[in-house]
Amino acid sequence: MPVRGILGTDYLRVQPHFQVIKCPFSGHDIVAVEAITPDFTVVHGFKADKRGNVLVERNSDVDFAVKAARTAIVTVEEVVDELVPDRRSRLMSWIDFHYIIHAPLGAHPVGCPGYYDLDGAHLKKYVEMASTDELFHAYLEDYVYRPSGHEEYLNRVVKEGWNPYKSPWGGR
Amino acid sequence: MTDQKAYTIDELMMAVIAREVRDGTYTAVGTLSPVPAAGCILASLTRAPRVRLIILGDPDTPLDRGSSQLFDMAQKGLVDLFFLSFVQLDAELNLNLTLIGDFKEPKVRFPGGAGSAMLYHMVKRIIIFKDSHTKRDFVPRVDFVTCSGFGTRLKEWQRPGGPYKIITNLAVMKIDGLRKKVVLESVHPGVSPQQVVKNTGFEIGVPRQVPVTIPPTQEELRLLRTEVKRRLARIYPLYSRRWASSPTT
Repeated sequence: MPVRGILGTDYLRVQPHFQVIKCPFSGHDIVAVEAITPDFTVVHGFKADKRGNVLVERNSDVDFAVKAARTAIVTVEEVVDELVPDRRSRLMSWIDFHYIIHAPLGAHPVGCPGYYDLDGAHLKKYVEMASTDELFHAYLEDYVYRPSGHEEYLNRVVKEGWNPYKSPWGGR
Repeated sequence: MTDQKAYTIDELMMAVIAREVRDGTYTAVGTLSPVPAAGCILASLTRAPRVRLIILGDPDTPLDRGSSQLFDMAQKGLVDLFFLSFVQLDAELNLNLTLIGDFKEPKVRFPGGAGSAMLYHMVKRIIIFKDSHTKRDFVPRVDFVTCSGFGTRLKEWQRPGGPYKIITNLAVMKIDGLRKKVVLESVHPGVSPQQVVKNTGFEIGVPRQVPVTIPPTQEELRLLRTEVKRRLARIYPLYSRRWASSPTT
């Protein structure tokens, strides 16, 4: 993808995915950025209907990540019969997604606006444990590999002090 | 004369920033920028009621496709004013937001520039802001060019925008694009031009007469501490709480 700007920066020295090309139309130098094609993109939304349409946060930035992926997965707080966007949300079509997963509280350790706040203590712990390979493997063991599933994971983080029912938007 | 102890340095910087906002334009504020955000909100309540203001992180943002929507506007050259801070700034007006040391083995690694390398070229006026002004901040040459300044190949580039002014806790400086030079515009009350020169790690232009930065008016201070602070609290709750208890300069 061509992107204006960036010329003259050290990104072009250290970042092989950015290359300077000549614009075939204007003849000016322009930076070309290599496409990223993830095997999977996983995003979290508010609600899905039975067809697979999804309500996401209105100002969500997920569209390009969803469209870039070979397989796009969305987890949602609720599955409902009919989706009604409000001033905080907007609709994404079922055509964008390959899988929808009903996963209440699925955004943890970050928050889901209108549902629950982020888990600051857990995020702090994550940052600390992501600092070395050894600690990070311990983190994965504790929170990813050992829990039998999402429910056990949630039980654990609630036991560690997370209160999922504090919403920054004051309920929904 | 306004009493020097009547306002904080942040409030002074907010008032200076508010004076730069042009009515009816697209003006945007990035993340981690409470002082520019407050300045722009103040402008929207006073001299620029029709400003098309975009503050990233605002729960009531007019954007509905995230920050990529702002980046698209900037690519078109639609954005008039944006704000960037820095870890290092040099004589060529390069900004470093990435690291200290060598790229392969940095001493300190920062979150990075996000879209700033692009915005620094594409937004018509970039105001550079920083709440400190020392030779560690203003250096002869940055360790990493996150945003490129005057450079050497400017003519070949399509560059509608770039650095416009620098606002720190000591002074306001303007950028003379033709002479590729930073020029002292005003010093904040109680600061001397020599003090600014001494704390800048490269040569800046100092006019014979350097005016004192106009402090916030009583009305600006009243708005900042009521309506602006109330709206800022929705975007920067921690900063707003600290503002209430911050000591005056």
